[in-house]
Amino acid sequence: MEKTSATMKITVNNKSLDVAADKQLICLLEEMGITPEKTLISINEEIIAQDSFKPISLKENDIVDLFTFVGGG
Amino acid sequence: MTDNNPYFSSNPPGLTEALTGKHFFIAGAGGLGSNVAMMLVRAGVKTLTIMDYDKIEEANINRQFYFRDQVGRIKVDALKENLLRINPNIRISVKQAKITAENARNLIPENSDIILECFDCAISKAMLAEFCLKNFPKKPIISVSGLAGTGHLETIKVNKGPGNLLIIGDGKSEAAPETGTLSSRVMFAASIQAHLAIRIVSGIGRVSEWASW
Repeated sequence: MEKTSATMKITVNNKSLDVAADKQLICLLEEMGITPEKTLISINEEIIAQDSFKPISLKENDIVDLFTFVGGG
Repeated sequence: MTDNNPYFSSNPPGLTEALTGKHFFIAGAGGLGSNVAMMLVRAGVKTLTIMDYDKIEEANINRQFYFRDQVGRIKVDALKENLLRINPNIRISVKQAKITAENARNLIPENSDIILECFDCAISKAMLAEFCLKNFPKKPIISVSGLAGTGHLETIKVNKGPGNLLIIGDGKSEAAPETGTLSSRVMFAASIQAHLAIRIVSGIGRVSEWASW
């Protein structure tokens, strides 16, 4: 019997994504090739502090906004 | 002190008065920060706090508001002198420091009306935006991301981030030896940054005018 893993829908920068139901924020960033230290992250409009990345599990219908800064000034 | 003096007589009516007593915090005194400060002081801003840890190098002179005879000096000290030549009546506080998440609370003036993120380093940009949105949610913060190279000026846009954050830039042109930083493009971004700050602090404009990212 084929086993199907559970997925959930989240929204990342206005795009709907199907991800594993236990997806960690840090894993999502890694898969997207995003450097966390250069990125402003909000989940459901709440700013996520850099030092709290690791323990954060995403939930169904979470709205994740990511903005990665580039250097120069 | 009122400003019915000739130096601000060409300003839009009421603007000089609207800026009186408003406190601008500028984080970084490089290509963005030095030019933003210069434009703000010319526009009639009289209270500024500026922080930067660096010294002036030869390679800064192509775009930053410094002069050849200031190479080697501490940026915030030289900038203070240059700004006082435009208006000797400003109150300017300078801090030679590198901001971190740990010392940010001590470096950002509690009574500042707006925060201008003028750093070079992308990590510092993200850190300051995150810190200010969490700790000073009511203060507008204007940040810049993507100003290097020779791309069209029209690609430099304003986007609204979370809360009271506005982000200026093309979002992708990162400063690097192969792209370089050009006076006209850096100053264009600095000009938008200073202009938005003037509009918001004087009450002409609002952060919420801009579309979210």
